[in-house]
Amino acid sequence: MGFIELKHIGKKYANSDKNAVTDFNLEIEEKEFIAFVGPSGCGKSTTLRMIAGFEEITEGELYIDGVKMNEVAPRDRGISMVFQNYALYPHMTVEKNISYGLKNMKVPKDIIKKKVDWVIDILGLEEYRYRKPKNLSGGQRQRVALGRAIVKDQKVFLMDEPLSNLDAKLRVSMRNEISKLHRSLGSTTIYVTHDQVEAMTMADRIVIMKDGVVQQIGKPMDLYEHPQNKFVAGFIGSPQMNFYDVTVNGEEMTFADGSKMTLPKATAEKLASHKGELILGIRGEDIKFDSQNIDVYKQNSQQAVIENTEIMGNENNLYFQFGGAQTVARVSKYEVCQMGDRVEFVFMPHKMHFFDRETEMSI
Amino acid sequence: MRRKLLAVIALMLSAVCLLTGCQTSVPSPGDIEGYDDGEEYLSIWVHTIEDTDEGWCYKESVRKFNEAYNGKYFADIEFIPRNDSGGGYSDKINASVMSGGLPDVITVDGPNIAAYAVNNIIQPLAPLTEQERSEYLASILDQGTYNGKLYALGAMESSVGLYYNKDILKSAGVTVPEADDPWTFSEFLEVLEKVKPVVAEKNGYALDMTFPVGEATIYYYAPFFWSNGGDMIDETGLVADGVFNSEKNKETVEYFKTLLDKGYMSAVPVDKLFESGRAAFKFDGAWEVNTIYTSYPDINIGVAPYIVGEDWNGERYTPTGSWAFAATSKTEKLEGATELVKWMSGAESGSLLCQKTKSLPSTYKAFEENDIFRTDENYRALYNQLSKYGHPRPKTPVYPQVSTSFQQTLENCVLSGLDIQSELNKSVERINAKLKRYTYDNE
Amino acid sequence: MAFFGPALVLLTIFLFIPMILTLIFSFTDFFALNPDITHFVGFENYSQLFHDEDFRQAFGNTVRFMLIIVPLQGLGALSLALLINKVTHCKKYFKVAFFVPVVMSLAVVSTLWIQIFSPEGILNSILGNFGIDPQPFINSASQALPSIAVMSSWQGMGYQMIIFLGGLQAINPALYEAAEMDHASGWKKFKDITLPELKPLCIFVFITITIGAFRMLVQPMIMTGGGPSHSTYTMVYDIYETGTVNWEIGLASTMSIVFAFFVMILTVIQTVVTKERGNKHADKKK
Repeated sequence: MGFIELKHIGKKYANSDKNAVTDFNLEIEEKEFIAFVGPSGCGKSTTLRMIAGFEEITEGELYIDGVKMNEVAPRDRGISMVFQNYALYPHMTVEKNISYGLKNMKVPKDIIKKKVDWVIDILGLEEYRYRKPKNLSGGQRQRVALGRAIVKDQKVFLMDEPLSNLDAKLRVSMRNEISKLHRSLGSTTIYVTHDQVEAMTMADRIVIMKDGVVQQIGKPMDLYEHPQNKFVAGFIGSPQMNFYDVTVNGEEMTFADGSKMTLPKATAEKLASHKGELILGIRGEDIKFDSQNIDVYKQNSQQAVIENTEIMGNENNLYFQFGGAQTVARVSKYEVCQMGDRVEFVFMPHKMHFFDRETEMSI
Repeated sequence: MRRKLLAVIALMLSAVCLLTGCQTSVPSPGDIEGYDDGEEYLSIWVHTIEDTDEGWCYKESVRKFNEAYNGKYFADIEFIPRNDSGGGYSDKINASVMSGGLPDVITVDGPNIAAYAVNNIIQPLAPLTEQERSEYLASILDQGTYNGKLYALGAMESSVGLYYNKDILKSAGVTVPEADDPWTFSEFLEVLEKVKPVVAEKNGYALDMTFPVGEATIYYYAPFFWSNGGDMIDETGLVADGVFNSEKNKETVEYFKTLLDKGYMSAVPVDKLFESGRAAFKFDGAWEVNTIYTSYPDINIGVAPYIVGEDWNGERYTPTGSWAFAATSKTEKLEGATELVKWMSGAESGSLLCQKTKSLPSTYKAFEENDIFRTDENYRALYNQLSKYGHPRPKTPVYPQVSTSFQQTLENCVLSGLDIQSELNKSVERINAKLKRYTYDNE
Repeated sequence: MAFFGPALVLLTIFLFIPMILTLIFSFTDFFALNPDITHFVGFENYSQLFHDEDFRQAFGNTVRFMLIIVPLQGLGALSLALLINKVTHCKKYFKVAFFVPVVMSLAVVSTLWIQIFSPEGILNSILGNFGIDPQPFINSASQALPSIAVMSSWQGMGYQMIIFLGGLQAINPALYEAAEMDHASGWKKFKDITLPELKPLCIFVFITITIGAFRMLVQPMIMTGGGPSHSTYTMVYDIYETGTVNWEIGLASTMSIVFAFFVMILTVIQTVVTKERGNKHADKKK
C-alpha cells in the first residue's frame, strides 16, 4: 500500500479515439522522488494533471494516503504544484505571491509571516521580496514558484517541467537545489520532465512513458543497465545508445555492412531461441579504443574512419560509420583522435544489448 | 523621379477636385440633349429624388416647359435628396450659398421664404400681370410675399383637417356643423364630452392629439391661436414680445390644457389611435384622407370645419404652406427664371402633382380640372377651407426658432404642467435672441 | 512619401481644414444664410454659451447619459464576457447573438425601440403581467433619458463584450490553476487575477464608452426629438440644431470646440485615475 496509488489510470479525450494515457499503474512511497519522463506528447503532463485534479480521470482510481481522490477538488488533495511557466501572479510582489495561498486559507497573520520569511530565506529571495515577477530573472521566478508551493506544507509536490525554461547552467544549479529541498523537507515529489538527465540525477525512481503507455518503471541505474525495450534504451543515456541491425547465427554476428563479430558463449546461448534477425545496442562508452582492450578482444576488433569529433574537455565523442549505421563512441580526453583518422576499436561483449527486431523488447 | 512626383501631385489634385465637388463650368449648347443653340440655360434644383411620384412630376413639368419654350429656354433639372426634417436639401443650399454655386431656380419650403429673402438668397420675381396673379390661391400669393414683394410661387398647397370618425359621432348623436359655422372652443368641449363614453368602450380617446417635435405642431395647432385673436409674431416678422406671450395666447394654451385635464386626449402618444377606430377626432394633413382611403378603408372619415376661438370673426385661420419655386439672387436671367417659376407652379404642373401625389394644387384652374374636388366630399371640404380661410405660417426670418418655441411651449405647459406665462416669456426671450442680428444692422 | 500622399490629402480636406475652420468660426457670428454679414466677435460666443439655457440643459443631459451608460454598458459587457467565457456549448452562437445589436444601424434600433417602449408595446405588456401600470418611458420627461440610456447600453454592450472576451482568453489559464491550488474562491480569482489582467482593456473600454455616450445624438433625435421638455436634448443635438436648423454656424462652432474640450478632459481624467489606482496598489507595501 503506497502513499500515492495510481490504479489503471487512463485518459481519453472526448473528440479523439486514441487514449492520451493508457493503463497507468504505479505505487509511490512516502518521501519518494518520482520522475515521469518521455518525449513530448507521451502523456506525462496529462498524468500529472490528473493527479493534481486539473484533468478528469476517465479510467482508473487515484488514491492519496488511502483516500480515493478521483472526484476531489485540486485544493483538497493535499497537493502543491509548480507550473511549467511558473504562473506567478503578475501584479503581486514576491512576498504576496508566496503568502497568497496561506491568506486564502485564513492562516493567522503571524504564522503566515513566519512561514513566508522561512521560505524566502531558504530560497535566497530576501533581496527580491518586494519585486514583481516582471522584474525577476528566470531563475528567480522559478524559485518564487517553488516557494509558493512549499510554503503551504503539503504532503505532495507536483512539478511540471519546472526547469525547461532556464538556460543550461541555471538548470544544473537548480537541479541541485530542488534535490536538496526535497531531502530537507521530506516531501513526496512527482517530477515531470522531458530531459532524461534531470530524471536520472534527481529521481529515486523513474517512469518512462511513450504514447500514453508506461514503458518501464525503475531506479535510474536499472533503466540504464537493463532497459526493457529499445525505446527505453535509446531514451536513457547520453550519448544515445548505438543500434545496429544484425544477424546472429550461433556465435557469429554479422552486421549490415558485412562486418563480423564473435559472441561469447553465454550470450550466444541466450539468443539461440530467437530468430536470427535482431537489433544490437551498445552504448558509446562501451566501445573501446585503448590498446589493452583491443588486445583482449583481438579477434573482434574493427576498424573505421572518424567522420566527426566533439571535444567536450573532459570527454570526447567520436562519430564514424560502422555496421551500416552511424556510430558514436565516448572516449576519455586522453584518447585523442582527429577527423579522418583510421581507428581500431572493440565492442565490450558483456555490454551488448539485444532486442527483438519486431517487438523491440529486450532479450 | 521628377515625373513621378508630378504624377502624384496631379493625382492628388484631381482627388481633391473630385472629393470637394468643384463646380465645372456651365454647360454649352449641345452638351445636353435638348439644349439647342440660342436657348437660354436655366438650372433648377428640386428637393426630392427622381424616383418618387413628386420627382417624376417635376421631371415631366420641366420636359413640357422645354417643349413649350423650345428655342427660347432650356431648363436643366437636378434632383437633391432630402430627409424628413429637410436636411440634405437645405444643407446643399447652405453649402452653395457659401461656395457660390446656386442655380437659377430653387424650391423653398413656405415658412423659410422670409429668411431666404431677408438673407438675399432669393430675389423678387419679375413682375406678374394681374391676370397671372389671379390664377393663384390667395394663400399662395400671401406665402410667397415678403415685405410687399413676391418672391416665390408654390405648385402645391396643403391644409390640415379636423377629421372625424362618422360611426363614432353617429352613435354619440353628434352632427357636424357647416363650414362657415364651425364649433367654438367651448362647443367643441361639449362635443368631446358627448363622444367620450363611446370611445371609452373601445379603450380609446375622444381626440387623437400629440405635440411631436418638428414642424408638425405649429402647422397643426397655430389656427387655435389665430382664431382666438393671437399670433406668434407681428407683421414685420421682427417683434415677438407682446405677441407670442399675449394674454390671448395664454388663454389658448390653457384651452389645450383643458383638453388633457378632462381626459379627452392621451398624455402619452398612442400609435394609430384614430386609424384603428379608437378616436373620434384627429388633426392631420391633407394626406391623411388618402391614407385612410387606401390603408384603413374600414374607417368612415369625414372633415369637420376647423374649430375657432369664442371671438372669431370669420378671419383667415386655417393652416397652409408647402414648397414653392423661387429665383435665386445669383441669377442674372430673372425673366427666364420667372417664366420657369410660373410654369412649375402653374395649373398644369399643379394638376399633375395633384393626380400623382394627392396634394392640393395652388391654382383655381387646377382645382377645377380635377374632379375629385367636386365628387369627394372630404377633398372638397379641404379645398373650401383652404381657399376661404387659408392663413400662412408666421413670416419671419427666425421662423425655425418660432416653430421650435411653439412646440416646446405646448409640450411643456400641457404635458409637463409648467407655468404658461413663464414658458411664453421664455420663448419670447429665445426668439428675441435670434432676432438680434436682424434688428441691429441689416442689408 | 508617395504612399503618404493620398491619405494626407484626405485627412487634410476632411479633418484638419474643417478643424481649423471650426476654430476660426467659433470666434465669429457666422450665419449660414448670409455669410456676408459675418462679424468677428472674439470670445463673446464662449462667454455667452453657458448663459444659454438650452446649452446648459444639453450639457447636463449629456453628463447624465454618460453617468448611466458608462457603468451599465461597461459592467454589462464584462459580465457577458465572463459568462460566455464559461460556456462550453454554442459559444459562437452567444457571441454572435450579443454582437448583432452592435452592427444594427442606430436609426433602425431606435425605431424598433419606439415600438418596444410604446404604451401598448412589449415592455409594458411584460410589466402588466406583474401588475405594474403601463409606463410612459420615452414620453415622460423623467423616464425618457434613462430609457434611452438603457437601450443604448444594450445595443453597444456586444462590442466591448467581444473585446473583453479577447482579453479573458489571453489570460494564462495556469494562473487560475495556481489560484485554485492557493484556495482562492471564485470571487478572489476574479479580483486578484482577472481584473488586474484586464486592467489595460478596462481603461480602453471605459474611455470608448464615455466618448460614445458623449456623442449621443441619433437615438434622441429619432425617438423623442430631444424631448419631452428637452430632457433628452444632448450637446451634439444642440450643435446640430444651432448650426443646421438655425443656420448659426458661428455659435455651433463654439459649441463644437467646447464639446471637444470636455471630451479631452474626460479622457485625461479617466486615464490618470485608473493608472493612479494601479500604481497605488504597487506602492502600497514598499
